[in-house]
Amino acid sequence: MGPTPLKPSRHRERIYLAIAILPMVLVIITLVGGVVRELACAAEVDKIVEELRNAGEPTDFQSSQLEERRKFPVSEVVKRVQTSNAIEHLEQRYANFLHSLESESCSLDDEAKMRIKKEVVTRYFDDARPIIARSQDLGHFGGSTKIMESAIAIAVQTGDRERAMEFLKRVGFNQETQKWFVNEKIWADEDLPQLRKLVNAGPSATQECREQLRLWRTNFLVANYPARAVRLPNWQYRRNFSEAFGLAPSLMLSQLKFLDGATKLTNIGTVRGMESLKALEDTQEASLVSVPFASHLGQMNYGIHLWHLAERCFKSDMTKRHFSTAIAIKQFKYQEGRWPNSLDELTKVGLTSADWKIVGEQDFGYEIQTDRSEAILWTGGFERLEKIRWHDKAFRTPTQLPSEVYPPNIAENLQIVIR
Amino acid sequence: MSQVAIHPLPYPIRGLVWKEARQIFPLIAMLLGIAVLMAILESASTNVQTRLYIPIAIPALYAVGVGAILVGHEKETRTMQWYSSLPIAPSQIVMMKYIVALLGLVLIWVLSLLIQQLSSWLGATEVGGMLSPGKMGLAGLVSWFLHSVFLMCCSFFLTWWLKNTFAALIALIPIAALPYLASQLIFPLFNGGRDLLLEESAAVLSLSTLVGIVVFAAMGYRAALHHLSPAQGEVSRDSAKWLIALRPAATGAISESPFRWTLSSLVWQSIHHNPFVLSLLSLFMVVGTLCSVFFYFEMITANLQGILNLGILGGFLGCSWLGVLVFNGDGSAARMRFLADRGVSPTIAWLGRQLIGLSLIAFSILLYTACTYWLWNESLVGTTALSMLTFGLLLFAVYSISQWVSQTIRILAASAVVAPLVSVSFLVWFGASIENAEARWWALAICLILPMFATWAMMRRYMDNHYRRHIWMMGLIVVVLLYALPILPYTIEVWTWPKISKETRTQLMAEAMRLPEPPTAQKFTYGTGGVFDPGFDNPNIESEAFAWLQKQGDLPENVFSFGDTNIDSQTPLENDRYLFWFGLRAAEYARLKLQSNPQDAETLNLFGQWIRIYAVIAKRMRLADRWIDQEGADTAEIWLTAVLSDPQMKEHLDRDFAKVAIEVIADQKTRNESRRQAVLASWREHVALQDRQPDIQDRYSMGGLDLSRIFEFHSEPKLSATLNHSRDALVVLALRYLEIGSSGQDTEAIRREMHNLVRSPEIPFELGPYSDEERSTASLDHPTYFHTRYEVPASQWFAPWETVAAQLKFSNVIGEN
Repeated sequence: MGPTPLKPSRHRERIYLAIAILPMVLVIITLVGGVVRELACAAEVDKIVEELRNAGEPTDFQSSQLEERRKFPVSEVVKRVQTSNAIEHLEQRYANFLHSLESESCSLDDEAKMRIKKEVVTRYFDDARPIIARSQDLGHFGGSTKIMESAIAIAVQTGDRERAMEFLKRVGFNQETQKWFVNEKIWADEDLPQLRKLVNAGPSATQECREQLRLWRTNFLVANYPARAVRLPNWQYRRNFSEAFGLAPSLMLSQLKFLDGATKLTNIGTVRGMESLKALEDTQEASLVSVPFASHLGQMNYGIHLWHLAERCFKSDMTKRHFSTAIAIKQFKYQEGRWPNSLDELTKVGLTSADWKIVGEQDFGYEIQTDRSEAILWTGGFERLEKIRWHDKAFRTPTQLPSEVYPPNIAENLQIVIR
Repeated sequence: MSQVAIHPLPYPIRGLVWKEARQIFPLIAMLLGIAVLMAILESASTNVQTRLYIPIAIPALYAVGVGAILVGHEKETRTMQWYSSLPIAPSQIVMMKYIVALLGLVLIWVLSLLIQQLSSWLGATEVGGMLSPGKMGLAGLVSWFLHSVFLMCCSFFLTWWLKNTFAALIALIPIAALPYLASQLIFPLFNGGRDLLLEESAAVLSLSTLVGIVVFAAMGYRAALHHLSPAQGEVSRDSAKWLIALRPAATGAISESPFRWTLSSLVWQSIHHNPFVLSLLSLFMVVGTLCSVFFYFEMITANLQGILNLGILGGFLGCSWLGVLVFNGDGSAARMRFLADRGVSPTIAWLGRQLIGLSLIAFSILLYTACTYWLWNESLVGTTALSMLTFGLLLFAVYSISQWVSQTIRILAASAVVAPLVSVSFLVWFGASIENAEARWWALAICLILPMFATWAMMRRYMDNHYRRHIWMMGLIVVVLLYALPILPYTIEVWTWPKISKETRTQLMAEAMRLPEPPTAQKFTYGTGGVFDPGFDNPNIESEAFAWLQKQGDLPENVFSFGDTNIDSQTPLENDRYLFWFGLRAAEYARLKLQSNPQDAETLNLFGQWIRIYAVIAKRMRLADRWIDQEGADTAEIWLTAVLSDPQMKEHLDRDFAKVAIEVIADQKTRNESRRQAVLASWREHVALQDRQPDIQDRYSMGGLDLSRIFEFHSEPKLSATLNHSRDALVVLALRYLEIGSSGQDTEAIRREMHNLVRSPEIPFELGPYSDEERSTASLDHPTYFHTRYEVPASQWFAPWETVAAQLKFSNVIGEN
């Protein structure tokens, strides 16, 4: 029996002690380092919150409530509610009726449907006259999209251009309404530039995105920053098990920086914007993994929500350009008496190359039918974006007409037929 | 002779049966005690469901431990040698142990099922739990029972076969899964390509378990006979080494003091006394840690969830048994006495025993941190992963509680079985305390350190072997503190929640009981407007559609109906949030129509009908005895006040509909009396309802008001615990509010009290529903706004609209005169 490593000896004593103590020392060092880091992060978070406060941004429950009250004083709210109540009363009746006509079980043909819609629209606007009179004082009257769409259809079919434009202003454009503006031939030369202006004057996707990010930041701070003292209503109060004792300052800082970075992105609805967003997300991920005190909280990760928001901006921007370019093609036809041979010719009606591109990347698809009776403008399929990441290079305008590639219901959303 | 006739067993066997039964009694008592405690404590919570596993877990743990106690412990204490010296056949000894263990198993099954039933009686949401016939059926129950018998046979075999009891317990873990693996192999032979039904799977599992029972029982029997047979001589076993006896004593240079410090000696001892067991436990910990890391990876989790779960369970057991190893498992008690005899400090001895376990935990934490750091990538987006601290604290909690159990329970097998159960029980308790009782971090930190402190404090007595009574006393204190500390601040808060005095309550109840019972209230129903139904392939649809359009109108009867519309009707009306609201929208539409065309007689008639109908609604709702009906009546009266005080309506105030409405809204006395009556009646009804243990929805409804919305800033468990006190406070305040308001005093102070009661402290009074701004005359611009404020009761009581309403009557009277 020779000596084995099991045998105790003085020179092995340190090794045994090291085996017993070293892992604990390392854990303690990491945790102490974590405490130091958390304290530093807490100071930085305090600084950011102070700066926001100085800039007049709401950072706690009270200030967010005050801002809300400033934006919507009781007296203003009640006025809005007054008209919206009356509108709801009418729309519950007429819009529901129109929806029932769209049901699959309804055996009406298109002509009969149009006759009934005409009656509904007539009655609706007759009934809504006092509301419209009141709402003009208040400066808001949207009305039901369903009814407005029918109103546009009827106005176009009866050749009432001004009324159709007026309704477009109220309801905005969508798949249903845009066809009335590019398929019909009732428009005068001067209508089309006006129509384009109207389309381009729609709400800015980037601005909406920033507003949303600001709201997220406020809500995040309200729910987490003063969490040491706050008792908020149940749904906010009941914390996730992993953050039972509040959010670690490092995690808060990471979220705040991410939201701040996202707010500063100027091109969030573009492919380049998507790339910047991805880089921002990666930085946030990297900052989270080295946090010993903070669980990695999926639900606190704004990345996913932000992707959805950016996607909405992207779609909104692309739809706007798509429709605007389609009107410009129609305008070109009116002006030159022929379809443009390529989209480059649209400079003659005041477009620039950026206007007919899929947000900073490729041109829209464009084709003139062989009998030259109509032209088709198309874009990439939004549904493809659900499967690929936005920043992937895989997103391209298909070279073929969507109607040749996709089923009719999808193709209809991707291509605009201009007559 | 008569004794023989009465007792079929010979005397020595009876004595042994008694001894075996006494030996397993502590295990049965401890397991059942923990089960009862879990069942009672968890029955208060709907979230915690571990009690549902009691009937499966408790017999399985007994089966694992019984072999270790009846065989392993006897080997350790050498009483097994005494058996060999008795004039009893080894086969009889073995069979007797099997029979006693089996009887114990049957007993523990019966008692476990009873405990679970007790839990369901105490308020568990799922009666019958995992073993309910709907979930598992008889086949499932039989398969679980057979599996516990299988575990028992394995436990006997391994403890007979292996020298070290701890090693036997560890080896049992993989063997326990054998019937499942076997049945997985057997399934394809039976199912013919389809998925097996639950009962079929249970039957196949039972079959494979039955085979396992036979095999391991036989192997155990053989190993036992071998162990109880006379030992062979050392020389004859290894005849090649017969010269060993002649070998001179070793004179190697063994240092008298190989280590300088006692601590190092203790560390050395911890590592080398049973390196096999320590290595296995370390392996369990490492595997468990890695499985915990990979658990977050969706791709892996989807395919290997079962294996990952098993790995995590192994890690948990490894951690718990590391704790058990501190004071048990390798004859450490005797060695401690040896150290005590040589004057080693109890603190040093305690630290020396703990260091290796703590070191392994620290290593696991570092491994977890390193793995999560390096392996983190996009696939983890959207998941919630534990932080290093949380993971470390979980491990430490399991270890800390287990080492305390091992010092408290001297029998290795018992502490090895009980420690994981106690650890998981306390972890669940701590989790439930965080979730339901707002446990403070400092209380949980104390709870984690407390078991360590307890073992340190008891170390001197443990080393001197004079500890039984003291250690059990300490154990009791630790249990009480571990259960009490996390919920202590919450309990104090709930306990000291402001309550109304007994006298006030009695007085209120007496007044409430004197209230007359009003007639049954009438409900709203839909009006004639209806919804258009296009039908299916309806050939007349176009004409029907036009007819439907023609039929549409804006009269009250088009929107709703509630029976008698006479202003003198004495039938109370029950508030219907939606139809009431639909009516107000239609009335607002009529108002706008009149505003745009004041001279139109038809429009005036339409609007007049709405004013009249809302006067009737307000008056009839005042007759009802639910608080929410009074809130509805307030909204109706606010709307009437708003429209009648509109300057455009001045010229119409002498019309009948206006006169009727003014009479209603100006009647402050009736309004206050109705409010008081409704508040008291709602309270009386709710108090009576609480005595009948209502379901959750009814529990929070007082007079139609949703108390969970009113007190929404409280957490759900706290609201549940303080519901009756908060309700009483609300009622008392509301009654005082009525008194102050009726006497014409300023109501701001009482409104502030209402605000403090029902709103979060973060919402200042000025922004709250009882603020002057919310109650200002601006509300008269559009009273339907306040329809959305039902969850804040009494917010519009004695608001300026009541003064405006009174002035309307006064002006009208002056005008008439």
